[in-house]
Amino acid sequence: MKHEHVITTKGLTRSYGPETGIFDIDLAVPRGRVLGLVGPNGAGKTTLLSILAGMRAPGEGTVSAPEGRVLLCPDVPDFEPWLTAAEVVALSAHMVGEKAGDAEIARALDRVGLAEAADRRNGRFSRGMRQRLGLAAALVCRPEVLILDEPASGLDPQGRVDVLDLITSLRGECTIIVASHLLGDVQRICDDVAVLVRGRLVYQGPVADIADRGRPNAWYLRTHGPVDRLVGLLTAEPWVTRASRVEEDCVHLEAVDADSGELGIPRLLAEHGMPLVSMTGFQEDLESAFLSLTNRTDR
Amino acid sequence: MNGTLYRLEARRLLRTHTLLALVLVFGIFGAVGPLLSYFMEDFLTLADPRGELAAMDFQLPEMTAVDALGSYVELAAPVGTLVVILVATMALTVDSGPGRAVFYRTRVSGAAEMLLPRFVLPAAAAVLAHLAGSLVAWALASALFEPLSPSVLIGALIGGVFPILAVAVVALMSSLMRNALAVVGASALALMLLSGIGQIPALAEWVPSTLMRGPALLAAGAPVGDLLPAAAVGLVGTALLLFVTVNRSGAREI
Repeated sequence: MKHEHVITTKGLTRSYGPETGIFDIDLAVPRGRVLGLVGPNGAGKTTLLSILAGMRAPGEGTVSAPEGRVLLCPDVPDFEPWLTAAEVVALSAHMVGEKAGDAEIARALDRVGLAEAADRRNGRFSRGMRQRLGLAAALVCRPEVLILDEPASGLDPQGRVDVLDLITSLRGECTIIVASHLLGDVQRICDDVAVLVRGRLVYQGPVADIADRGRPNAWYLRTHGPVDRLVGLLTAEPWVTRASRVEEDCVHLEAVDADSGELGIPRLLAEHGMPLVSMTGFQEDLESAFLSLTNRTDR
Repeated sequence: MNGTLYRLEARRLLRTHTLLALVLVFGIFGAVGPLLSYFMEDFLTLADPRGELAAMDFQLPEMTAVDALGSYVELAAPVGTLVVILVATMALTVDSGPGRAVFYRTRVSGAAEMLLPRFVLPAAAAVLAHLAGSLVAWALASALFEPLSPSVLIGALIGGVFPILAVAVVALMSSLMRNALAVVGASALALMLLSGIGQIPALAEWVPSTLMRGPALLAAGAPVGDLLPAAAVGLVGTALLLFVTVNRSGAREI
């Protein structure tokens, strides 16, 4: 499916030194979807987000941004400590000319779980509460693009789940760009992912595709009874690079690629009448794909 | 542009009690200055119970209402200006933390929209405090010594240009550096330097720090016109400082 893009960059470069900054970034952010931006520390995520939000100027290249509002929620939002949560949200709305009344402000605070803290001054809020307040202050502005830098990093487990659910619920309401180190979160809430390594965009596409790239080519196989015969059979197969007994009923197997293992293992077991109890991929998430991409680039 | 950020600054002055603190500081100096002058002899007697000064044939000149106003200026000029710098720094160091800077900068159309309310309200509060202090000093000096003409207060009004300039200096420093403590130090240093230049007789008439002495100068018989060159320099300087501030702040990256 082809998506309309709300932000595009062409050859975007902002250098702070030979390996510092971002270089030749061609990014396309699909409208109405959630894009995850991942990369190791110092990969240039903050620089890219700041440029997209208009906080920094590009060195070279172009950024095509929407005419509507682009708001950035930093990882540690900060407000005048003597303002109450409701006043922060009202200030945010009124600064951009949104006529947010008490009902809208209460609704925004309720969406982020801060309804009960509406009349408390934010100076004594925890980091997690301030992150939620930053989100409420952004939502009330009805942004066209909402950029969230590590939105769940300071939250407790329940708060994290709530914020991730909230981000998921915003899909379609506005375009969201999420920078996060928590790859599980990115995999859970994002439609697309962009991977930055040493300032360069090494992957951009649907999360499902990159997760597919990270399909395992190593498994743990459990069968009924001793596995010595199975190890022998597997070792004889040309697509098996390594097979070893881990436990009495468990084999660790590595194949030349994912397809070979996924097709070959069930076939081999069926041919020899050996029952398969379980087959667990050794790596099976975005994290492995991410590590594979970053390591490949590091080399 | 809307009035939201002006209301925010008004709320800051009231809720953080900075307006009250400013008026109190200047008001207290306005009272203490004339009282110190009035009771100077008594204080000296208390400080010299054995009459050693009297034995030295030490003669204290008779205090006047002009001296009382001068005493207020000597207190208010350094300490009051420092308080003005602190209050202005609280409002103007918006970029001291990236979290707050991003909050404002992604919602305003430009640096001027963000910074002007943060200049205007503290400057107005500083002028109000300076006028309150001058009024208290004038009233007490008139009551304790000889009556002073109300026209002396015109000097206080023109003298209000100096606190405005002081806030503009803080604005400039906050566009050059992000750390609030550094902004306070650099602003204080710049205003001390200006005050030092004001001690050069040939330049004194043109240096805005002279303006704080406005009420005392008029009470001593100087014409209002004597204050106008320094006031003009102060206003032009303020406009220039704000122009540079807005440009520097607009170009700043977060």
